[in-house]
Amino acid sequence: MEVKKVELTIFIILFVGVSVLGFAASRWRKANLDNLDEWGLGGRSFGPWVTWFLIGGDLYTAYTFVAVPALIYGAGALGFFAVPYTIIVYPLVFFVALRLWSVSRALGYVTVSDFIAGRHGSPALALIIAITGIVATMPYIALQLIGIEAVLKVMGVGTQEFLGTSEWPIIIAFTVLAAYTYQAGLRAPALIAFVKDALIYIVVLAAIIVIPIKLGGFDAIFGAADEKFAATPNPNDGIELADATIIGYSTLALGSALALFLYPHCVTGLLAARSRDTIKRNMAALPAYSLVLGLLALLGYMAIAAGIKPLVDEDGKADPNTIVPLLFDDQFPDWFAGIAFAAIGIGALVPAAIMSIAAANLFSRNIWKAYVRPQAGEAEQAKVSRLASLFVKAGAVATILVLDPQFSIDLQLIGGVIILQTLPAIVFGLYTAWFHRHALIAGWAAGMTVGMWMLYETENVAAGKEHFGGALFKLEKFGLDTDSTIYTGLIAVAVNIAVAVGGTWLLGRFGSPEGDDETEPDDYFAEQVKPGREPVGAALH
Amino acid sequence: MDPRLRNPLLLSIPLWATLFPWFYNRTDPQIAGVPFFYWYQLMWIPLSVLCTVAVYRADRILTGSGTGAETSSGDDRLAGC
Repeated sequence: MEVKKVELTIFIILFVGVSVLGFAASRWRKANLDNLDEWGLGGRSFGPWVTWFLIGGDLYTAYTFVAVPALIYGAGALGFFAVPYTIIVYPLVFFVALRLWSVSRALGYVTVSDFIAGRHGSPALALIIAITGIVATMPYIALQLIGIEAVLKVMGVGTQEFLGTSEWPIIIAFTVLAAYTYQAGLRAPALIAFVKDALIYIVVLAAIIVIPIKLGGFDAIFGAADEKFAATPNPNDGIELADATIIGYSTLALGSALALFLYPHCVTGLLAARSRDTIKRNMAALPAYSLVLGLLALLGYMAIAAGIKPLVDEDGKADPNTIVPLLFDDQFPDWFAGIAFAAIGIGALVPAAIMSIAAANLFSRNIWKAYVRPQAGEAEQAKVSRLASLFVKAGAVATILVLDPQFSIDLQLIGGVIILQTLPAIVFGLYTAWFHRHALIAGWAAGMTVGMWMLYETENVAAGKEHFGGALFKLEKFGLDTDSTIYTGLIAVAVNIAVAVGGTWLLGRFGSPEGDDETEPDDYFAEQVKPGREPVGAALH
Repeated sequence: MDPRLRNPLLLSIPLWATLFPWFYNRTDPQIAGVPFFYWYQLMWIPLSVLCTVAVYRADRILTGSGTGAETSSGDDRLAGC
């Protein structure tokens, strides 16, 4: 594949522009960046519009414009689960976000693990939550990498070998990302989120208006998709859900929604808000992004109607993630395709930055400071965080090599199976201290075991892989007489909850002592720092 | 549950509407060539906004929240929760 010069030029210009913004971000609202609070949470002073962009920047990623359309292209209606997922996320968030924000503001918590330690009085549980959060984030970052890679492949960049590797584009992209997040922390992504969102809206509007017109209207588009799926041997694809995929659809939506705000990076975005009102306002405004996601999903069908075939790698494997870049390349003039590629590329870079910063925070506070060097001061924590951020990105690359699911979206879904195991400790913990900390740990262990077993038993038929092939589990493996599949994460967390409840009851009967809960009911509605609880980093000023 | 939310059940309506695909898994009736399955779910995006806004507005009226400036934990809690 030869290099597409016009598109690449525009892509590079926008990319470099964004990098410059990133370095400039360290000047924005001057603050002592050595303070972890500054580096990790932008000084907790972002107003409603910045928060709106930042939280939005988290939610819409390579998942939105590469992975979901690729699933729609390959499997049909099943891929649309992302729409009900984002619809139900917002009401669910109301029950979690406000309380978590308040108790964190009141007691100076920077990460979700801080909250776990304070609420349940268990350093072990807090450590487990931290590790889980870090591990679960890696496949999600990996998904962003794959999105960037798809764009570069379509531009012809990823395909030449140089110095023994053809991975140069990814290496360069992540070096840029690593460099400016290292320097400016959370402020870098916030500034760039404006640019990213502007680019995405321009491209989406063009895509959803221009492309359907060119292809002859939605009649023709859905018609072409219908024909394609009718001709495939797979009985479960189609523009309508097959009976066997209905449960899978519903559980993917519910499971993904439950998992979303458990991710460290979503918590980071949340805790950066200025007030509860800020969060409430944003919750109501964010569904605009849902609409973007739904419209972009339909790009998968538009690609079918336009006759797009995925790019084939040197090893003969078709890469369905290239569907959307190829569609843009086919339907837009070169210069606009370049802008569209930049939108996708930057749109993957920003969340990757946010995700790795959040995971790094968890490491430095709740693993390094908690267990390795308890005497670590703010400056050391910030430094460790920066280094950890680099390691997390490396872990994401490793994930791509180890896991090889049929659809890239499975990477995020597998991450979801993992992060869902923190749900009882976090979500129930925000409402009650009833659960015994040891029961929560037991529940986590049970959920992780069941989840890992189910993932292991899931094959990737298309690639001939027997294990870790995806996140939909065949119910017949439980001995049930049915074709239906179900989202692994939901079963795993159900087991987790059952064990946590049973364990708490049991430990109650044995009179096992409760953990120390430093929170008070009022804290979950707080707007201010509690007297006597210094905000993190105040000592440095 | 936030005791100040007077209509939390309003928030659950989008869930009921979209978590049971058996009820909307069909192609007809179509709008502008888009099958029912797709426009029904997309339609629930603005509808869920209305639900969320309705809950938020009711919350603000009842508790007399300000314009978004920082308030202490005292002001936000009024009439007997």
